[in-house]
Amino acid sequence: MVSWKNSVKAINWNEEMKYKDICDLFVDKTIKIRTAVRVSFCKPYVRKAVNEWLKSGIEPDLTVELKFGRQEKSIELSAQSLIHDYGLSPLDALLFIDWANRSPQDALQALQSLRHKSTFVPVSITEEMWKQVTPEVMEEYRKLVSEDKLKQERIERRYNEIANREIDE
Amino acid sequence: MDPITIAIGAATAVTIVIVRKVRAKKRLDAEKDAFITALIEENMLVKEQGKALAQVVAQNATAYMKESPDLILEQKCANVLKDFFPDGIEAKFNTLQTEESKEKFVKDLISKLKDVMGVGLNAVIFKGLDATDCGVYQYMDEEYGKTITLNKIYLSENPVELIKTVIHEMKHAVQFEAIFEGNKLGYSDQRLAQWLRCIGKDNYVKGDYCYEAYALQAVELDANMFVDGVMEEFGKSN
Repeated sequence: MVSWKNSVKAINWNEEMKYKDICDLFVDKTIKIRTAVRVSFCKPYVRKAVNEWLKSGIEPDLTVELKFGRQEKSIELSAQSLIHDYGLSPLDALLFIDWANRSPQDALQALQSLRHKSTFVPVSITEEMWKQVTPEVMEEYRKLVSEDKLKQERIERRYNEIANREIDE
Repeated sequence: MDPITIAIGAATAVTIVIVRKVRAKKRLDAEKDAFITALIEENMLVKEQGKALAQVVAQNATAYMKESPDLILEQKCANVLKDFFPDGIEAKFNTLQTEESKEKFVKDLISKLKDVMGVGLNAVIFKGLDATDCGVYQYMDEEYGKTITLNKIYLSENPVELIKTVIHEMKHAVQFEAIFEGNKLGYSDQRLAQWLRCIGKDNYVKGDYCYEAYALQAVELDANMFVDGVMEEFGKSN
């Protein structure tokens, strides 16, 4: 297993990790806070795995069995496979397992896309381009921006509540 | 009438009014109580028996729903696939011997899809990408403008995924053009706003820190659902 110690900036290997320690993994402030809050909503066994990974720098080897569908189909999903076969980071692999636990079919469908990524290049929207957007669409867009702003504020409040809490509490 | 009688009469009248009001209030309170009790019982019933249904309803209320232009487009694209792949995608690709013939075939397919979807495209580029990167759409490529880049490995390794990627990228083209070049297909303003919210460099979530957040963005959800819809329609004849 690859050691991630060099990329994980945790300092106190003997202490339990806190949510604010997750922020050391990212540069962008929004991503830091959202990820920390996201982890706080994970199942306890996922949070435990995140804590262990942050403490030790060793890749998680969490494996879960997911059951879904009426016929109760089940498949195994492992952090190691997500990291090495699908190219996810250790943290994203654990978050993915948490997602799959909540919505197995959605997550497994997304897994298929992971093997064959199709995407687009996001654009810098110019003033000329903004002029092409109709006023009605702009109104709806502004509503979405307001909603997102409120969401972000809620996320930041949540982060402030949990920042100094231990992840594995 | 003597004053005492008047006074007694007045007091009686007032008493009657008060009693009626008190009775009316009691009746109202009793009705309220009964209503509240019924509501609570109904709520408990809903909680016990309707939890699953309530969950499904809630999920659908917030889930990303297709709009009618999508259904029309899915059928049109599926018809194109049926013409190009009468015996299936792999069967067709097996008849194409060289990489050049495969590239030309895919370009011809994209040209046809472009027409039925009503989008513009300036270049289709095949090149070697990472093994898990199938394709990319660019609305504003510096050299060509509207461009689709496809991983040429998929021409021989996984033509089915390649075709799905083509459809996925073409749907991104539909999204961009609907926002910035006139909403010819008739999507709702809310839908265009949802897409607009994701396509800017500041807002688009790349898949490198949380794949769930990336996959659930409106533009990606939309394109993936579109591919599923087209393939389902196409699969009805294969």
